[in-house]
Amino acid sequence: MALSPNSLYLVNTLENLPLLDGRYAQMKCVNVTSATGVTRGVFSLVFRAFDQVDQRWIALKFFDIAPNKMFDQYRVDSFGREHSILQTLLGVRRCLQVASALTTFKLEITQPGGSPLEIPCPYFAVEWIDEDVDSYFEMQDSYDALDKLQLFNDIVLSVEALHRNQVHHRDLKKDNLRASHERLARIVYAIDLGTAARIESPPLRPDYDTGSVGAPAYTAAEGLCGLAGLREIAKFTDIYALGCLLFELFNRDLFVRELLARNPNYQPILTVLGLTVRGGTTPAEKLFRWHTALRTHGKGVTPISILALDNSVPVGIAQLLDELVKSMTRIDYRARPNSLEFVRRRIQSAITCLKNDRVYRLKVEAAKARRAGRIANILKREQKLALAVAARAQYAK
Amino acid sequence: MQNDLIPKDNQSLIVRSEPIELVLAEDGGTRLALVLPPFEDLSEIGKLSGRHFSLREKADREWEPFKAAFSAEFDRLEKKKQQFGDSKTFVTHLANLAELAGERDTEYRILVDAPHHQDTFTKHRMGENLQARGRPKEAEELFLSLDLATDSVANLRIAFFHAQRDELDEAARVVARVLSIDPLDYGGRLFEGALRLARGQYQQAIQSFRIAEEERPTSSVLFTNLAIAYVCAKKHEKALIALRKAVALDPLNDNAVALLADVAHSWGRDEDAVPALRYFVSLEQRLPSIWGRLARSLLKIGRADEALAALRRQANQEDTSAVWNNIGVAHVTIRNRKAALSAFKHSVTKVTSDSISDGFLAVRNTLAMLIEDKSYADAIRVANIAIGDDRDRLIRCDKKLGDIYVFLLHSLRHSGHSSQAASISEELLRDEHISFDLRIWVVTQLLAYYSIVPTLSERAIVLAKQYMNVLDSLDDVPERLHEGFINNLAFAFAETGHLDEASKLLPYLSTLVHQWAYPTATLGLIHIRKGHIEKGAQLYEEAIRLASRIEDKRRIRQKINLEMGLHFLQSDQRRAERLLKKAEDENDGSPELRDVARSALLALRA
Repeated sequence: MALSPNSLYLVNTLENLPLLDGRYAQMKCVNVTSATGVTRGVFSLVFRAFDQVDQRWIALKFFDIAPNKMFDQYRVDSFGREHSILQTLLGVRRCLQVASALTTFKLEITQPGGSPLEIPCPYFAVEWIDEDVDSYFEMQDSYDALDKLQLFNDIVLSVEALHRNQVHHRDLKKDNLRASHERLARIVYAIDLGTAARIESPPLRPDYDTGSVGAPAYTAAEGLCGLAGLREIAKFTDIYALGCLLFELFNRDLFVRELLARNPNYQPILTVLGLTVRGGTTPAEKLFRWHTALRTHGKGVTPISILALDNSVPVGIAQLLDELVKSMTRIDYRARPNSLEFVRRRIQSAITCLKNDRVYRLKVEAAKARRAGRIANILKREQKLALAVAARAQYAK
Repeated sequence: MQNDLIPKDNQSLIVRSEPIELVLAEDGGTRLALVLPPFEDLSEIGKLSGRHFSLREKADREWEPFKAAFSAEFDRLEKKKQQFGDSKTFVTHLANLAELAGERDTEYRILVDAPHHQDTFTKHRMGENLQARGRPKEAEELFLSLDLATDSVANLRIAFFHAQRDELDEAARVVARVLSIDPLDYGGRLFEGALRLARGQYQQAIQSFRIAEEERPTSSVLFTNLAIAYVCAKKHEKALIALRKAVALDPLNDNAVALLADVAHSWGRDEDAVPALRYFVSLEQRLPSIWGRLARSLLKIGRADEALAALRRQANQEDTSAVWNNIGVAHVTIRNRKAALSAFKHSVTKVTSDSISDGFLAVRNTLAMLIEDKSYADAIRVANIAIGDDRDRLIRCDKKLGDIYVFLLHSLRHSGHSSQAASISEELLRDEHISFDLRIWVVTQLLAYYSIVPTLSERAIVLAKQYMNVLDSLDDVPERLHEGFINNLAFAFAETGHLDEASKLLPYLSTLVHQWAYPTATLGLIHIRKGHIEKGAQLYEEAIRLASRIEDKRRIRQKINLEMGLHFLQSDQRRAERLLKKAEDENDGSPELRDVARSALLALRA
């Protein structure tokens, strides 16, 4: 999305401002690729700045004052909600920490021949976490399975920390993950809580009929079909996104590409589910309609195997990870794991298996034996049919 | 004799046979499918436009914002090119996003420019891209350049190209290679099954699909293919089960829904298909073929009003002769004869060079109505116009359209033009290309006519003897005609005094006697001619009771009066005169029998 003239003016003003609020210096916008480029993030403009009071780098999140966003109450409320969620996470390990109160910067615009106009620009500061995890996904060949599983374990831990505090991220994707190191341990953080929601908070939009929350590539069917506002199932939407990420750690293709390739009818199915849900007037009715429609249309959705073409899953843990990804990304959220602890336990089993040579060898052999058994069984059936057909042909003569 | 035999007045629907898709490979952006003949032919192997809601169009529209989101993701990821540009995963992700954004040209450019574009995975993607962009030759060349000893994906694609060119042996060889690489390969088994099906190896095809099912039990496409195999293997119950499963897995699979409707209809189980058809059209209303099938099934289960509504929806999308004919049929069912006639008339005006037979079918249905109304003059006029327009002689060569001739002949007889009807019939019999059904209809009618006209009885015997040998080939003709033919054959022999030949037909006739009026009467005639007067008279009385139409009751009564009158000519002249007079005076009786009675009376009085 190109930057609006308003936003551009804000970016230029801040980047040229020596000191904001008496403490933030060296501000540089980081989610706009160039002055006329593309923004990264839906609600905000993010600046890297040096906090002269605390003597550390921080991130400043400014509400994007693009004309089409400024008066969008949902966006305004979401921005405020992000700060309040961050406040509830203060001091919680593995969660991004807020570094300031929600403040307003007044952007002065002097119109030619007119009086100066002040545009209020709300912002707040969060800790700056420098390290991204993109390379695990974009340069898979540089990492072995153990590295990837440990990263995934760390990602799950960070999301689990959010869930423990009644917060659901709802926009989990590799861009929204950062890592830092505490002593020798790596800690992953799920950043950008712009679309996150607390379980007890009411939906900001009266309904999500026509909109989805989060990146479509990682959003579960229910999130795309009008149930994005239901808090009770938001946890499962995060679990789905994590399943996609696990898939993408071991495959060259994006999960969503594989999903659409294996299920050519996925888009019409989503449309039917969405239309059905939209017929409901209350959350309970929508949920009921969802389950009803899913009974008709969910059965034909092929679950996605992590063992796709050119995957890098070690044979010894293939079955384990395959079952895990399939269960995490089921179209029916009720069939997904109920807790992230279960997911972590499976990942830990895989890690243990990879670390233990003997166990790993046994798993590999068992997998090979299972496959050989199935092939032998098929060959036997084929031979039996060939004999039966030949005998019938003989009899017919 | 049964000289008033006409095709049942149930009207004929036209539901266009749709080719069935036999899917060879269902994964990937480009689905590979072979187009099979429609269900009818498969069985032969073994025996308000703007207001229509289209789910697919809506799905495409609803996907547009996602495409934009993928496009934005693409832009963001592309900025990391400097950092990850050499990575295979990065390039694949970029290509994926271009594909998801609908930018297939960009996807190809990315794949070609990739530093590792020679790697197998990237080449697969390039091949799929080329195929999706309609460049099959380049795609095939690319797949052929891969290591076919180990690459099952490339082999499957090559097999498809062979299948497309009808090189099924070559395709089978390539698929065998796929399965030697991986015997559990779902795509390989699906393809293997389809090829076996195309080669008539139905049991083996079923086995291939069953093995594929173990790998992917949720594929609607697979169960549709399995159903096709069962249809070919004449296992219709299993085909229905597989189709129900295919539809349950994906109620939007039009191929499965259409085939389910066709199989259920052919088995008289239309009610099995109605829920699936109804559900389908509730979501996807832009497929006229499905509307047509829904209407057919609804008519069959007696929901004519609903069928008419379905046909109107169909007519809004394809304003064809066939649809208007079907609308006429629906009107007939709900007894709106005026609307039916105007729909049939409209159907004829919609005839194009590709749908001449549809127009003739509408004529056939019109004639059925005119004859029911006893509007014989109109029927003769309409039939003659149709026959005059039939330069390609479609009417006489088509099983169903042949009814036009049957109705014409029937109308001529009822208008006092029996000899003209006979001459047209003889002309038809001389044409060796006429449909078998029409031939049997004509022979049946001629036998009835010739055998009761004394001067033509010799021709009746020649004809009867000539057609004795078709008695065992009547399985495919309508039951009504089958019975009428046997009856009239026996009647012709009995009436002309060839009682031995008539007796030889008793095994064929025996199953019909006491059930149907005319065969019972014919047995009565044989008895009378053999001198068993009392038994014969009893059978005639029973035949009168069995006849459901008043005209038939009168005709049979006319015949027994004539027979008894002739019998008493020598022994009891007064009684004979009274009976012959009754036969002569019978209203709605046969004119030929009246002539015979009159002649006998004249002889008696002289």
